Amino acid sequence: MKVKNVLDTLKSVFILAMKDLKVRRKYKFVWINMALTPFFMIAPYVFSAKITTQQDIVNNILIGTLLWYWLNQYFFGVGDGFSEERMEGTLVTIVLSPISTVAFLFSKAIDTFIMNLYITLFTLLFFWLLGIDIYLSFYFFLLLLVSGLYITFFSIFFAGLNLLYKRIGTLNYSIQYGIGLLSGMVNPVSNFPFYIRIASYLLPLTYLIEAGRVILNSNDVTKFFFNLLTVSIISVVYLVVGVAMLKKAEHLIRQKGEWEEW
Amino acid sequence: MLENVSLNISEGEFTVLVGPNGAGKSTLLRIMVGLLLPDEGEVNILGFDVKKHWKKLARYIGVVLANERSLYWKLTAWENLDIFGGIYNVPKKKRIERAEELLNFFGLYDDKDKLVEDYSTGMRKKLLLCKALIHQPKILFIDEILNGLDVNAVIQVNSFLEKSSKDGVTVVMVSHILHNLSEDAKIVLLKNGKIELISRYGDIFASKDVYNQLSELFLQSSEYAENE
Repeated sequence: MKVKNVLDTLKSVFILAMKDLKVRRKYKFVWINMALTPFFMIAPYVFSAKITTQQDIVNNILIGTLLWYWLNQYFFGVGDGFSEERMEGTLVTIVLSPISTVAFLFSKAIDTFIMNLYITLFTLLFFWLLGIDIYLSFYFFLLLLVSGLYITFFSIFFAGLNLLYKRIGTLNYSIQYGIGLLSGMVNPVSNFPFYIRIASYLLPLTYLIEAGRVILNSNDVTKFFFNLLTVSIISVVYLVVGVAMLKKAEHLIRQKGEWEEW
Repeated sequence: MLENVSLNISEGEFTVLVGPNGAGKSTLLRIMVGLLLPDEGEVNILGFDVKKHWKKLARYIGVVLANERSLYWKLTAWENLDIFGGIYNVPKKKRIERAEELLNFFGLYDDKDKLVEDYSTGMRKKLLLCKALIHQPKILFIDEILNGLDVNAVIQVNSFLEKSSKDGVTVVMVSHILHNLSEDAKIVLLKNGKIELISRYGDIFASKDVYNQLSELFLQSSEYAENE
């Protein structure tokens, strides 16, 4: 019986994710925007690195900024996932359905993952056309898959915060940039003072970027998996706290009846 | 704000919550579906404690809210029904049959491939009903769906609800429009968060006292709306 419930939830999650893709299909310019904007945003960093003529620095910055862009998309898609449905007017309908708020956020995560793969494909293609090439190994794709999962967990934590403290959503951009800086998207966190590094090592993105740099520059599989193991532990903690915050927020919203307010 | 509200609704009953603006009709409906938690008291529907197990209950109820935007406007009517049927885990084949049946009944089948944003208000309201019925719920909760519908559409919707009720679906509807209701419909009149009257629709016209009470409250309700 429980297995059937899990399968039913997975089917609902998949249907909701497909719904997002169907809706986006109607906005053709969004696809052009998603193909170009990430490249335009991270290219200045990467080309600045190319001045040094050191491939490892180019790799470091490319993987750092690319994964940071993934986080941006997850923060909007999952972390702020309720706002999108609220603005559409469909949030209450979803809330009234058998699907839980966490399952709903996972449907947003699938949609964001597909969009991030699309973004990555075009970004790497544009860099390749402009003479910046990175080695795409099996571990690189594994890193993207793991990043999708663990940035989702972290974004669910942000979604919980967002639902508990509604005004925090207005700081979304600042928080994203702050996380990017602290995670060492352009420079290794070892360059930071000790007290900043403590904050850096609390962020999943730090380990994902580090894993990416290890695999692109030295192909050190042991170090790669050590980073993945660390990020797994940290991300699960964020997920557990995030789910608890979502439950609390849901209870408070039901007490006040504020589903449509933001 | 609701006060000492106690209401029993039997299976297959057609209940209409009426009363002036601010009487607490929509609040009561929202409590019954689990969107809102009451400060105290119990809400039990189909054996589920709604305060705790509202998500388990969700599978057995259909809800139509007044908000027309609770559909995906950038998708077609057919896509909307397919998605909502899917969320409730209605098997694909059954989903198609049910969607065809509902769209045909409400005269929307020929427009099934139109985007919801191109629908009229009346069409959207009928589609909201189709959406709430796609998983064949045991109870249908409806908030103000008749507002903005023309006379023919009101008759069509009411007769559909009446038929559903006779087929065993319990209907709980918030409405200001009381004509064309079945004689058996249960009218629950709310005022200032309290239940003032519970009567069969057919009995309202049989008893002068009940009729006067209801008329008076509706008059107050329209004066209130005009002053607003």
